[in-house]
Amino acid sequence: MKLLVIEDDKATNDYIADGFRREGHSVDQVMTGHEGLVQATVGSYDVVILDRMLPGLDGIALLKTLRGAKNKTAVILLTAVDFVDDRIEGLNAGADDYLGKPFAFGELSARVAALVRRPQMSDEPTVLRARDLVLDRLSRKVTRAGQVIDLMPREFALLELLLRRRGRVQTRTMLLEAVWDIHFDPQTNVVETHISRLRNKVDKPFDVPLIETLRGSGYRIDTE
Amino acid sequence: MSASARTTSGPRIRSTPLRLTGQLVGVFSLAMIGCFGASYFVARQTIEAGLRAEIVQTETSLKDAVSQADFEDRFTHLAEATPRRVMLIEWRSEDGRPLGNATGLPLSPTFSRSGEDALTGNDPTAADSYLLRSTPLWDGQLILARSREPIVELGETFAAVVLVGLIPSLLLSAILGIWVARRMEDRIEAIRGTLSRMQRGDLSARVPTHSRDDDLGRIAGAVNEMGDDLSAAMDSLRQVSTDIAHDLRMPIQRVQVLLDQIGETGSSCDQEALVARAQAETGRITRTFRSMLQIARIEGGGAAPLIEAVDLNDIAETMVSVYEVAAEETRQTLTLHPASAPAIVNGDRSLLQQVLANLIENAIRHCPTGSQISVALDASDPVVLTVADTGPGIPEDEREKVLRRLYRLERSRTTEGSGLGLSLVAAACNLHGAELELGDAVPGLKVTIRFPT
Repeated sequence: MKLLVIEDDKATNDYIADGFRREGHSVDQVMTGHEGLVQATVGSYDVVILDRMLPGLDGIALLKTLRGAKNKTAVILLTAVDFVDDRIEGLNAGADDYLGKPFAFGELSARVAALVRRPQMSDEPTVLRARDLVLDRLSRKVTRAGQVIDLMPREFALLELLLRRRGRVQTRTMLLEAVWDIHFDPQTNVVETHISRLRNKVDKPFDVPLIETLRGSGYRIDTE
Repeated sequence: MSASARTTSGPRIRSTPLRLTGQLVGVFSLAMIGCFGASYFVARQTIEAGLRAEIVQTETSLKDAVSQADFEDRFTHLAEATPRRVMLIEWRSEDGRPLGNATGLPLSPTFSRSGEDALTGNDPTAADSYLLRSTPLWDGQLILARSREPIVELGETFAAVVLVGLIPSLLLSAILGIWVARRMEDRIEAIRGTLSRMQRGDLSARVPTHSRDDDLGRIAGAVNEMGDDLSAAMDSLRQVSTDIAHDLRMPIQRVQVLLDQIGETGSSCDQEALVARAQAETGRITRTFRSMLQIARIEGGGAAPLIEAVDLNDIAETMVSVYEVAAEETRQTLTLHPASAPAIVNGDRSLLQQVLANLIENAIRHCPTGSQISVALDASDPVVLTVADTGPGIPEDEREKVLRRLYRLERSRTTEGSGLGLSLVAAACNLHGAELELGDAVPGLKVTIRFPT
């Protein structure tokens, strides 16, 4: 995957770039908005990681220019202020996702992965599978090894999301946003509790656990 | 504020009220003079027409004579009976024999105006100005010159009216105008002075308030209100800075210690544990910092709330579903009593979610195991949201204080939490115009939020 990091703080820029390089991606780094705009227009990137506050041309203006030129590259906006109205402003300007500073690299990496292979709703299958687990999105039925598993609506939504984004890490905040439409960080570890409930029903009675915890970043249902 | 604007206005009057007064007095004077001039002209025309009629009438009476002798007789009588001050009368026969009370008057077949000098020389018994016409009569020329005294008198009367009436009234209005303008200027100066004091940082500066509710009074009121708002915003900002300094110093200190320990320890296992603790600390710092910023933003009016019609039933259902498992972990029960009808309020969905999250988290955190927490909605008018628990509650004299930033009850010092949860709830309620009440659930805490209708 080819990434462009537009961030004026050298330490943060390197932190992001090094992280993605370690994951095996190719990363270009620029420090100003003007360079960023040129680079994003000329190079063909899979994802642009864009800081909102940049000297010269700021992130929102850059994004609007880029979108105005019909450039559809996926963009994640990084920002020091991440209250709801700022987030909406960013999304309206054409950002695909929005992440508040400070963030852990795991969070950014998971969100980038979610962007790149974000499947179209229409070509998604109605039946999702992982090993011996089958989730039918139409009849809202879940079975594992032929056994019917009774799930509460939110547990179903949680499992469905993990299956739809199979193989990719889902962070706590991503799950909160997708399942509950909550865009702030609760003090209590509510996601852990919900995952542990889900595990009790989906994993505990069976030999092989499906839901994997990645320390410090999130959860994943792995393919094999 | 630009220097050029100030310098170029040098010769013009800088005070708006003064300039307006001057213009008003000028326009008023012109209008008065125009009025007086017009009426003088009309009156003069009327009088002059009368004088002409008098001349014509006199001519006619003399033309009526039946013979030369009758005419001369009539003429001599008339000339004797007419004072020179009123009319000069002369008949000059063709042989040059003059008759009448004047001699050598000029001939003029049409009405003409003549000064005294041209007619009589410097004669004290004559008038200053005459209206004159000559007409041929009985082998000679009849010349009649009617005194223009009435017209001169009219002019004098008008001049007197202007002097006695107009000029003093103009003077009076100018003086009054200047006085009013100066007073306005003083009031404007008071507002300007207050603004410049505020600009220099003295936010306590206020315009002395007049009881009058005129335009300047309203501007002064608005300036004072702005001052109040600015001070409130500054106070809130100052409070936030103090809070941040106070409350973030400790966790930063702890991170510092942990980083030192990481540097000193040789064991990678210890290092991993220390890193995890440092990360937890920085996470807490971020959350506290974010909450403070958010509260300051809501209170300072900087947040543009996404006001939309939201159903509190939906929000409560979401938040209860998020937290009920957390409550079960600590063997508490969290139940929802939704309203039977949609509980629609105008608000910011995310902020209302946070309000409920904070109230539920507070209850879970501060209540012992086995407690019951209930979230209830009443969709009647007004919409009321209640979060009640069966925990220890908050002593009555502490209820005001817990809404303050970073305030924590003595017994809660050891539990997790920033002391910002209820401050955010209070700020969000304020933003939504909702009324927040902390009450007693006997036993336990009952938080009631009444939304505006």
